[in-house]
Amino acid sequence: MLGILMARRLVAVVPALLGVSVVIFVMIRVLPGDPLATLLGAQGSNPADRAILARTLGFDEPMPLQYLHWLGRLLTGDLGFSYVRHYAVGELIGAAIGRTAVLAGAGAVIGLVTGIGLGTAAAFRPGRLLDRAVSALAITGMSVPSFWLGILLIILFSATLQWLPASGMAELADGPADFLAHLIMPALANAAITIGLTARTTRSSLIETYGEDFVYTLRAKGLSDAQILRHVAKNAAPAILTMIGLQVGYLLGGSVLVETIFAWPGLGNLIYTAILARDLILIQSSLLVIAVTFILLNLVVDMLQIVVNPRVRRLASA
Amino acid sequence: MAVIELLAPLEQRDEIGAIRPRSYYREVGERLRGDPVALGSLAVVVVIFGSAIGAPLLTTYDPLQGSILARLLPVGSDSHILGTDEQGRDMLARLLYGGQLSLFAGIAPVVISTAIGTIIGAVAAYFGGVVETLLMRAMDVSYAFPALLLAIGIAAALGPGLTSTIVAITIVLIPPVSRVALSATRQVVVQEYVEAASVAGASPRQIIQYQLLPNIASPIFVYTSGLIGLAIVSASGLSFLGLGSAPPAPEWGAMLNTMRGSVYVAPDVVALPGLMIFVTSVAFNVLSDCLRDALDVKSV
Amino acid sequence: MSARQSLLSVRKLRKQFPVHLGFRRTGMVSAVDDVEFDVQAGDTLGIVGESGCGKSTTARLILGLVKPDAGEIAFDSEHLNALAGRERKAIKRGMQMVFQDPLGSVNPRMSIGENIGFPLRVHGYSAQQIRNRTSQLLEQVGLHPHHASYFPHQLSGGQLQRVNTARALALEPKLIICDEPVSALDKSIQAQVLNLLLDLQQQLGLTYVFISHDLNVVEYVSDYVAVMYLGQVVEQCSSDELYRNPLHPYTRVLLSSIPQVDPEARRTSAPVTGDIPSALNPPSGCRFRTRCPLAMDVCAVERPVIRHPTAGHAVACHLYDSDTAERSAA
Repeated sequence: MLGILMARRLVAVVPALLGVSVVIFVMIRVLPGDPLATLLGAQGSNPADRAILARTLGFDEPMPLQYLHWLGRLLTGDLGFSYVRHYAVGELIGAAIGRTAVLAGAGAVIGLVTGIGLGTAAAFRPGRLLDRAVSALAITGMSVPSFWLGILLIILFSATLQWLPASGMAELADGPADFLAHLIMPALANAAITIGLTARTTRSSLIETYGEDFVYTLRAKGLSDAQILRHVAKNAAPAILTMIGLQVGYLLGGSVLVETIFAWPGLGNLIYTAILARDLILIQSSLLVIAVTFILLNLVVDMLQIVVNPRVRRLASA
Repeated sequence: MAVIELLAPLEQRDEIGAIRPRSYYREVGERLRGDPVALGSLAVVVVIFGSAIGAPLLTTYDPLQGSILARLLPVGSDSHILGTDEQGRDMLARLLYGGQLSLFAGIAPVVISTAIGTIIGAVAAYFGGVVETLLMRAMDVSYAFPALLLAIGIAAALGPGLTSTIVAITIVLIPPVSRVALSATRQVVVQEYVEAASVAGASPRQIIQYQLLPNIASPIFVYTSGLIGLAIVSASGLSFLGLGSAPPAPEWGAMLNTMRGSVYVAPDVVALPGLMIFVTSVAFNVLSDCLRDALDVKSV
Repeated sequence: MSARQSLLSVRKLRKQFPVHLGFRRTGMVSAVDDVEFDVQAGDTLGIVGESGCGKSTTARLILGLVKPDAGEIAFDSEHLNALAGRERKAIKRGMQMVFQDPLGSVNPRMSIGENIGFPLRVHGYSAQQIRNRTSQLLEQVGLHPHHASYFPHQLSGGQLQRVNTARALALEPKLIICDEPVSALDKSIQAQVLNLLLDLQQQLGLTYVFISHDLNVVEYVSDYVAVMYLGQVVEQCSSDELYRNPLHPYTRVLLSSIPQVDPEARRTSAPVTGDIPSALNPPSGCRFRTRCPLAMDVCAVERPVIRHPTAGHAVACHLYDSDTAERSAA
C-alpha cells in the first residue's frame, strides 16, 4: 500500500512538470512588444542580427514546434543564453540557486524551530499570558510585509547600531562570523511569516490532540508527561508537516523580495533584475527552475506525509 | 385546525407571546459586538478606509508635487507632520492617497476571485464527474508554482501597472477559493433540501443560485476575508518590485522602494509606508479571525 | 390490478449501483430489481421493508432524481421515459415528495415561507401569488401564516414535517411520495403528522406512496401494501389482507416482530435465522432463502416469480408455485 501510494505520487510529478513548462512557455510568448528587439537590447536594429537571432531561437517555426525544441534543450541541460548579460543562463542560475538555498534554508530553520517552539510553549498554557503573547506574535508575523521588516532590521542593526552589514552575502569560506553577519537579517526577514504560521498551527494542532480521548487513556495508564508528549507529537505531526510544505512555497517566493532589499545574489535577485531589464530568456528559465524545485520539494513533503500520516493511507483505500 | 407550538426553542417572545423570528446574522453580529478585539480591529479598518477615502479633506498637500528644498524632512517637522519623501512630497498626503491605491489593489482581487472561484467550485461540485475533474485540474496548475512567484510572473508578463497587479493576484487567488467552494458545496449538495428542490423542478442554475450559494456563503466568506490582509501585502510587494503602480503614484509598496536609498538619512520617514501596510494587514487579519470565531460556533 | 387506469404504474424497474474500493469498481449492487406495482388515484400504497431493501431508491426512480437502468414508469397515463424537457417538467409537477429528515430537508438559510414557496418560484409565479399561496398552505398543515418569517432552526421536528408537507402541496400535485416521513419523530408527534397526512388526502383527493420500515405506521395509513426485500417486491396486497393472511415467510417475520424490524441489530428471534446477506452478493435463487425457515431445494436454484394465489394478492415465493401448492403454509 505504501509503495503504491508513493509510486502514484511520484508519477503525478510528470504532468505537473509538463504543465508548468507549458504555462511558463506561454506566459513568456504572450508578452506584449517585440521579443527580438527586447532580447537584442540596444543593438537590436540591425536586420541581419535579427534574422540570425530569429533563426537561432526558432521564432520562424510554429508554436508547438518551438515548445518541443525548447523542452528538448531543457532536458539536455541547456537553459539558454542571456543576451542582456552575455552569459549562459545555466551558469547564472547555477551560481544563484545555491545562495538562495542558503537563505531559504536559514529562513526555514529559524522559522520552523522558533515557530514550533513558541507554538508548543503556548499549547502548554492555553489561555494564559504566554499563550496570548504567542498568538499576538503569530498574527504579527503573518501580517508583516517581509520587505518592510528587512528595512526595519537594516534601520536598527545597520544604520543605528552599526552591528551588521546592510547588504550582500559573504561566503562561508570567508569566515563563519562574516557569513552569519550577512545572513542573519535577511533570514529573519524571510522567516517572520513562517514563525507566525508555524507557531499558530503547532499550537492549535497540539491543543486539539491533547484534548483527544487517547490522552486520557495514556494518563490513566500512568505515563509521564514526557512520554505523553511523544505520542501527542506523533499525532500532531501531520498537520505541522502540511504547514511546512506550504512554507516551502512561501520561502521560495518570498526570496525575491528579501534578496532585493539585501542585495543577496540569489535566484530571487536574478529574477528581479531580469524583470527590470526585460531579459526574457533569463526570466523564463529562472521561473522554470524555481517551479521545478518547488514541485520536487512538495514531492518530498508528500512522501513524508505518506510515511508519517496513517490517515493518508486510510483515505486512499476508502 | 389549532395552532400547535410544542417544543419550539424559545428565543424571544414579543408582546402577544408569540415567538419572534431571529435571523442567523443578527446573532453573529451580537457575538461580535461583545468582543473588544474584534471591535478594535474593526475600528482600525474603518479609520484606514475613512482616511483613504477622505484624503482630500484631511490634507491640502498634493501627494504628487513636492519641493526639492524640503526633501526628507523628519517626522514631526513644522509644516509636515509626517515628514517628506526624497522628492520633498508631504508624507501624510502620500500615505493617505496611497491608501486608496493599496486598499483597492488588495480588496479588488479578493472580491473578484471570490466571485469567480465560488462559481467554479460550486459548479464543479454540483455536476461532479468530468466537469469537476476538468475544472479542478485546471485550478491545480497554479499549485505547481509558489504563489508570489506566479503573481510576479503574471504581472511581469502583463507589464507594470495597477491592473496587472490586480489581475495577477486575482489569478493566484482563484484556485484556493475554488477549492474551499468545492468542499463546502460537496457537503451541501447531498442534503435533502437540494433533492427537494430537484423534485420541485428546479433547473441546475436555480439550484446553484438559491439552494447552494447561500449555504456555502459563510465558509467562503470566512476564508476570503482572511485573504484580504495577504492580498494587500502581496500587492504592495509587487509594487515594491516595480510591477505595480508606477511612480509618482503614492502606492505604499512603491514608496518603500523609492525611499530605500535614504534609509540612513531619514529612517523614520522611510519606515512609514511599510508601517501602514503592516497596520492595515494586521487589522484585517485580526478582524477576519474574530469573524471566523463568531461564525464557527453557530455553524453546525 | 383493476379496470381503472392507474395513476402511477411501474413496470420492471431496475437500478444497479457500482461499488468502488479506492478507484477500482469491485462490483454492482442491485438496489431495485424488477419492481412492479400500480397505484390507483386516491389510494395509499405502503412500501415496507428493512433498510437497504431499495424502497428509497424506488421513490427516487419514480421522481426522476435517479435514472433507472430499465423499466417503465407511467404517471397520469403518460410514459415518463418518452417525455423530455418542458413536457416532462410539467407532468412531474404532479408528483412531489415529503422527506425523512425534518431539519435536513429544509434550507436552513431560507425562511419557512421561502422554503415552502420555492417550488412556486421555480415555476414562475409572482411574489404576491407566492405569498398568498404560502399562507394558505401553512394554514392547511396546521401552522399559522406568521410562521412564514421563521427560520428552520426555530421550529420543532413535528412542525418542520408540516412545513415539508406544505412544500410538497405547493404545486397541487396528484401524487405525493412520503419517504419515511415520521421515522425521525417522537412517537407522540408521529400520530399527529400521520393524521395530518390522512386529513389532507381526504380534503384534496391525494394519492400517496408511503414508504416506511415501521409496519404499524404502514398499516395505519395504507390501503395497499408492497413488501420489499433486497430490491425485490416479495408480496403485494391490500392492507387488511396482509395482516389477515400474510403469505410470504418474510412478511410473517416482519409481522411477528414487535415493535419493528431493526436490521442493524443481529436478531435471532425465531423463526428467522442468519444475517441479512450482502447486497453485493445476494443468494442465488430466492434472496430470502438463507433466512427462511421454509426454504426448499428449488429456492436455491430458481428465482421465484410473482404468482397470484388469490385475487388481488401477489407473492413471489416457491411455496405458491402451482406444482408445490400442496405444500402451502398454514
